[in-house]
Formats: sequence, structure tokens, C-alpha cells
Amino acid sequence: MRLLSIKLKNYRSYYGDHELTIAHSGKKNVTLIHGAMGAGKTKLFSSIQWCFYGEEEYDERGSVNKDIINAVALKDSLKNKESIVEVTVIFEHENKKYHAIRKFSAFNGSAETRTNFSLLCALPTGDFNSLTDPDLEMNSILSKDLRKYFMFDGENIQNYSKYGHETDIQRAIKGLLGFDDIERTMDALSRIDTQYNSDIRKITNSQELQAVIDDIERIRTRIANAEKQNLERDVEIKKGEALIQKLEKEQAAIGQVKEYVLRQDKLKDRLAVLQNSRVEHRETVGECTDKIYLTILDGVSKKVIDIYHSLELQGEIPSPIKAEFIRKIIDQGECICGRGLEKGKDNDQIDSLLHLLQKQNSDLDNLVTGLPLEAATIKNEADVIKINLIQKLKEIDNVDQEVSNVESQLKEISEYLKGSDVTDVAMKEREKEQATRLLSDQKATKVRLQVEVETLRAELKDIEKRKLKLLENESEANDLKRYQEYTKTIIEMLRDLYKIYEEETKNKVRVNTLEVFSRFMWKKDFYTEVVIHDNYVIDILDKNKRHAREGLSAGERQCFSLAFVIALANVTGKDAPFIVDTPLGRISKDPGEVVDPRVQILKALPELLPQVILFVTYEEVRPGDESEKVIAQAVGAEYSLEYDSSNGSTRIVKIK
Amino acid sequence: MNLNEIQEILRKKLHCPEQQVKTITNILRIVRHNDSRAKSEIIEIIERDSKNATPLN
Repeated sequence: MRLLSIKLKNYRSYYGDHELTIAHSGKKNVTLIHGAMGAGKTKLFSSIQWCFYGEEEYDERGSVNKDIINAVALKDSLKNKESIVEVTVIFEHENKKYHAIRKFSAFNGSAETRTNFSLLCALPTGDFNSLTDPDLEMNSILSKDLRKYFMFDGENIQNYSKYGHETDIQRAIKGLLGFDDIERTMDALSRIDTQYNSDIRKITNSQELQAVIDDIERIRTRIANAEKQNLERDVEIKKGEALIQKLEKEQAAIGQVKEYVLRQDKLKDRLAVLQNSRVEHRETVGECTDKIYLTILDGVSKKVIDIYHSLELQGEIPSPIKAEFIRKIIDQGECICGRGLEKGKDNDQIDSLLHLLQKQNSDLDNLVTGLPLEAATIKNEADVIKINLIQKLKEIDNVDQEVSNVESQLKEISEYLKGSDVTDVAMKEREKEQATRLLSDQKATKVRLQVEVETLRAELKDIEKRKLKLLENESEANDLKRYQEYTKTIIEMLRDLYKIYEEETKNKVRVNTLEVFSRFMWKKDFYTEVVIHDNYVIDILDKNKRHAREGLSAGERQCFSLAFVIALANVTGKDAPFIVDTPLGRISKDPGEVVDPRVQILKALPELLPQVILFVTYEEVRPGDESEKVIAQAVGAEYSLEYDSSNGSTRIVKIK
Repeated sequence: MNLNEIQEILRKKLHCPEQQVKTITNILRIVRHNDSRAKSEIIEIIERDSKNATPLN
């Protein structure tokens, strides 16, 4: 299937007639539709699905025609005029050209509640033939269920790589690759087999054969019931496993919270010790600063001593020596020149000497004389004070730094703990134990049911043999016997086929997913294998064979999911267009990444898929940016959607 | 579902007789269309093809 063009008339924000040609040639297979948020990208994207299936992408309540018709067109219909809403998608499929047309009318402000869908197929003459069952035909070209793997919102696909979405993956693989068809065929054949039994029962007169057939049907009903219960157990087991995993995660989170609380307590204790020590250090510093004058005195005394020594060097006799000398003259009554001094006779000289002695400021001189010793003491004390002060200031600095470090750690912890669940781990453990018990019960029931199914199948086989023997005598049922036998052979063959086909297909999907993922990722050799487990859990292994799915970043997860969807499209061989709304919405270049994954994806998409239609914001593909350059060569058609707020309508502007 | 692949598995891996390959392919094709007429068409195929099938033991 290749889209050729889309025509819109009064659809949503598209007032009047609009047409877009879609690129579909080999090398120019990309159509790029730019639009700012709210410009009408999603509406245009949805119009294709609405045309094909009568359903829009995002309206979970179901779109009503009154919402679908353009508001201005609805107003126009009030003026006694018919307003038509119509979307036409022209496409090619298996060398035939089709026109899919969905439309409805509005008159006097009231929209028709039903839509009209027609599918026209071009005849070799150039005329168009309107197909009698257009919905069925459309469904066989691209089924409604499978469209979501070809037409999707890029922001919603990352679920495929998340835990708990195995059912989606299973549905995607089985649906897209035709497992459903094999399952439905087996079901249909089983019903036909039952009908043959009923037909045989009607024509036979043998009561024994009738009883055997009744037994067969009873056993079949029991098998069907057991298988149904088995499927229900699968759902319960899946739920139980998800619950246990959730509880384990919560437990781990609580464990971490507890660790943090313990650390917080320790840090608080340490902070109190540090604050006390800071107070003590500050007190010591206070004491030291009280004696700081000694350090000044130390300088002053040094200066005095220097003066004292310089006077000594200049020959100045220190006054205490002078006083001593005078006192000696007076006491001995003899001068140094040998002349005697007598009291009563030399009283004037003695008085003069006594006067001279009084003039010597002996206290000050004594002080000055004692200064070298005093100065040494002062110096020692000043040195001690200085050392103490420097040491204490350093210690205060260290304490301050540690306090700031502890406070910042406490702030971080308090941020982490804000809103954390601090429920008791023990409670979670009890919940987990309960869930584990339930899970184990479910698993035991499943085993019991499997055994029951096997036993019933064996019983059925035996009873079928008895039926065959009894049938030998029923010549009238010969044809029915043959039909039934053939039906059974076909069912058995389909059962074997299913197993092989499932295994082969899963293998192709996983190999293809890895190939595509490697094209998107710059860490090409880092991821080496994609695994699809029996229960359809999809995983990726790194080069050390470790499970890496959980560690993928949001961008990588989206790349991985996109790779999975593309792999599905490739493996299925369905030649359908790949239509994506905001394909790169969640993908951004992380600081550690060498290459922008958006650029890688845009480069790879046209090479991987036959036809690509991308609805992008200006953020995703920036004009002039590398993202635009890498895809430019493959772009065959390019449009810009411009929203006119004055009338609430969108204009489609052709760029290329 | 790729019917060619299915046929290849039936022939090469399951060594399915050609008649059965044809029957299975035809039935799968009908079921794939999800047609309401599927059941009667399948019965028709079974009853027609069983006549040409290798006799069963």
C-alpha cells in the first residue's frame, strides 16, 4: 500500500478544500509535514485513519460528526446551504489504484450522525468500480487492528520496551504476523469437527456410538474450560509477578530511605559535636585575643632593649651602676682617685653625691636593666599566644568547612526524604509473602490444569479410537468419517505449523529489531542481542550478556521501541506506509552521546521503510539544522501547516 | 502472515502432502478475510479436498 494523495474538505480545522501529494517514489519516499504545536498536525494525521476506518486516533469517547465538521462550515450550513465534510485518500495497493472516500453532510447547523464510506478501485479502462463491501476490503488491505503499528503517535510507543507490556508485544507480533489467523482457523476447524460429530450422531442408530460421541463432546468442553482457566491463570500469574516486582522495588526504595534516615541521624550527631567544638575553639580564641597586647609588648620591649644595648655600646654607664659607684664612694669614704671623704669635713661633697644618687631613677633603670629577661618572658608568652591563636583559627576554619559539608549533606538527604514512602519494610515483606503465596497457588493451579488438559487429551484420543471402530460399522457415515478425519489432520498440521512459525517469526523480529536499533544508536557495539522470551518479554543484552532494558534512557527506550515497530513492519512484509505523529518527541541528545539519535533516526527511516510520512514540530526537525539536512535527500514532498487564529482554520502551505 | 512462508514450512519442515498444503492455504486465506461466510466455505474446501487426499490409516 502506497499513499498518493490526501484531500480534505471541512475536516476539523481544515476549512474548505485542501490537497496534499504524498511522496512515494523509491528514493524520494518521505513526506515531511511541519507544524507548530496546535497547528493541526494531529488532525491531519487522524484524518487518514478516519477516512479508512471511521475512527480518529485520539478520541477515546468516539468522535461525533458534530465535532469533526469544521466550525465555519457548520455555520455556513445555517444559511440554508449544505456543508460537506469529506476526506479522500488515494492509494495504490498490489498494482491497483484506490480512492477511499469518507464523508457526511450538515444542513441547518445539524450534522448527519452516520458517515458514508466508499472504496473505488480503478479498472484497466480508467474507470472506477465502487467495491460492494468497502469496510471489508479496506480491512483486508490494512486491518483496523494492525493500523496502529503503521500509523502512531511517536510519543506513545515507548511502552513496548517497558516492563508489564508483554501482552501488547504478544498482540503486536501475533496480530501483525498472522498468528491470530492460524488460531482462528484452528478454532473454526474444531467447531466444524464438532458439527461432524453432531451430524454422525444424528444418522447413527448405535446407542454406543451416540454415547461415545457425547463423551467426546463432554471431554472437549472440559478441555476448553480447563484451557480457558489456564489462560486466566496466566493473566493472574502475570499480575502476581508484576505485583511482586513492584513490592520489591518499593522495599528497595524503603531500604534506601532507612539508610538515609540512619545517615541523617549520624550527620545530625556529628553536626552537634562540631558546633560544640566550634564554641570551645571560639572561647579559646577569645582568651588569646585578651592577651594579644603581649604580642605588641613584645615588639615594644624589643625596641627598648635595642636602645639599652645601643647606649651600652656608646659607653653610657647604666644609672644603677652609677648609683652603685656613688654609694660605694659614700660608704667607703674614698674616691676612685684615692682621696678620702670624711663626714663633717667633706659634708658638701657627700651631700652633692647623695643628691646625684637621688637623681638616678633607680626604679626605671632597674626596670630597663631587667628588660632583657622580661622581654624573653613576654616573647615566649606572645609566641604561645600566636601559635594558639593560629591553631585555633585553623581549627575553626576546618570545623566551619565540615559544618558546611554536613549541612549540605543533610539538605540533600532531607530533599530525598521529602515525600518518600517510609512505610515499614516488614509490612511490605508481609505483602510480598502474601503475593508470593498467591502466585505459587496460581502456578500450582496452572500445572494442575495442564496435567488435566493432558489427561483429557489422552482420554479423548482413546475415545476417538473407539469411535473410529464403531464408525466402521456405520456405512452411511462414510463421507462424514472422511471429512472429520481430514479436518483433524489439518488441525494437527496447523498446530505444528503454529509452533514452528511462531519460533521463526520471533527470531526474525528480534534479529531485525537489533539491526534497526543499531542503526539508531551511536553505541553500535554496546548492545549485541535482542531477546524475545517465551512470555513475550522483550529485552536487549549488552556486550557482557547483561540484561540492559531497564538501564536504557528515555531516548534509547523510544529508539528501541521504534526499532521494534519497524522490525515488525519489515518482518510482516506488509507494504504499508509508516505514518508517525511527532516521531522524535521524546528523543534528545544526551550530554554523553557522541551522535544525536534524532539525526540517526531521520537518516535511517527512509532507508528502512518503503514510504514514510512524518508530522514534525519545528523542534524535531529544525530548518537548517543537521536533522533537516540528513533527511532532505529523501524528502519528496514537504508542507507547512499554518494556523489562522482569526477563523480557527489551518492552511496547508506547500514547501516542496 | 506470509502464505508463501507458511507453505514453505508445511512442505519443507512438516513434509505435508501437497493436497493438505493447498487446503491449509485456502482456509487461511478465507479466515484472514474474517468473512461471515468463512465456515461454509471451509466446510466446502474440507469436503472437496478430503476426496482427493491420501487415504488415511
